Amino acid sequence: MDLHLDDTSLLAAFHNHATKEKGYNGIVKKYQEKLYWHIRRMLVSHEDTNDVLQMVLVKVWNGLQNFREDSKLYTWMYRIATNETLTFIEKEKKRAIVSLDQDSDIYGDKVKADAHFDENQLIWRLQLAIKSLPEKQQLVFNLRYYDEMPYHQMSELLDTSEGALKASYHHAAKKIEEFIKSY
Amino acid sequence: MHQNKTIHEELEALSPFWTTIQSQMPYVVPAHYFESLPSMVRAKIETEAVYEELELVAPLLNTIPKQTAYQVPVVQHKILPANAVGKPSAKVFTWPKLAIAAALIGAMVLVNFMYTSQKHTVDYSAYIGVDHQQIIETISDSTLTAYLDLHEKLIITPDVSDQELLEYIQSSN
Repeated sequence: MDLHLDDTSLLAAFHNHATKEKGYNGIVKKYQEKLYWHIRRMLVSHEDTNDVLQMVLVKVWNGLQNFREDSKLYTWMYRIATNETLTFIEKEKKRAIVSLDQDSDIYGDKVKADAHFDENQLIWRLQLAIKSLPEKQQLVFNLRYYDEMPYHQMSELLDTSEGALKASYHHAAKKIEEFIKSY
Repeated sequence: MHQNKTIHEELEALSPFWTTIQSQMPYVVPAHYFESLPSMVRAKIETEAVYEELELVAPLLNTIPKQTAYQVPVVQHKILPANAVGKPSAKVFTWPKLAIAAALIGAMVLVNFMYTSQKHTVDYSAYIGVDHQQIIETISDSTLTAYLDLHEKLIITPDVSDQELLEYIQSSN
């Protein structure tokens, strides 16, 4: 299935019984990298990202039959990925509380545990700074800074007004700057 | 690209600090991950379908771990290569092996037959032909007397009374 096919063609292929698998594979191949990085920026580790991404893509398979095309396929898949990622983070936090490790910075520690981590490099400090933000603010910053998502699309995805998202993004950028300067 | 420029301009308007930062991710993805992901997802979808089917019919079965209860002997683990463990071992007989085994069994049967079929015969005619009188004549009188003296003392006669024995001893002295 051609990766450059538009979403409408891919969805039409999916809804045709004879080309259902091809249509789905086309959708997966088209969006897998974007979804992967959307999740990985939040979860840091590849293994956790792989688990969540597979779960997301299974949900996409199950939900595509009833997908209402009043929202973009891309936005719909991002929403599933965002929800699954935030659910995963909540579970991790609860696990940390149960293991009396609630004071630790779970995701900051995961950044430092990366095999290629180098605190002298600005790109790694930026990751640590992003991890110091609340999850929702991380999402807004990542979607805008890395995915370059327009505010109106982000608004649809996160059910938040464009003004609020813009304010959140600017606030996040300032906090990141302060973090890196004081590191 | 236009979008990218807009986003950078937006940040640079906030602070010149952002001109020093590169928006690239430092994380590494395992090689060929994205090539294999669609097939991994397909496999997961199949697994989920099997789970959900059973959940409707007999949900208890989904709570039992899908692992084999059978154990492979530890020795077998050491001897067999890893890919052979868990498979039932099959004995392979080839024609040369069967022929050698048959020849050995045949040889053993033949040796056993030859050994057990040997007759241990006694030459009775040699004994029948002995002239006892002649043999006795070759023995001297003194040898015979000594033999009789020796063996006479060993004869136990339960019919002899104590009185008779006492008289015999006195007469012998």
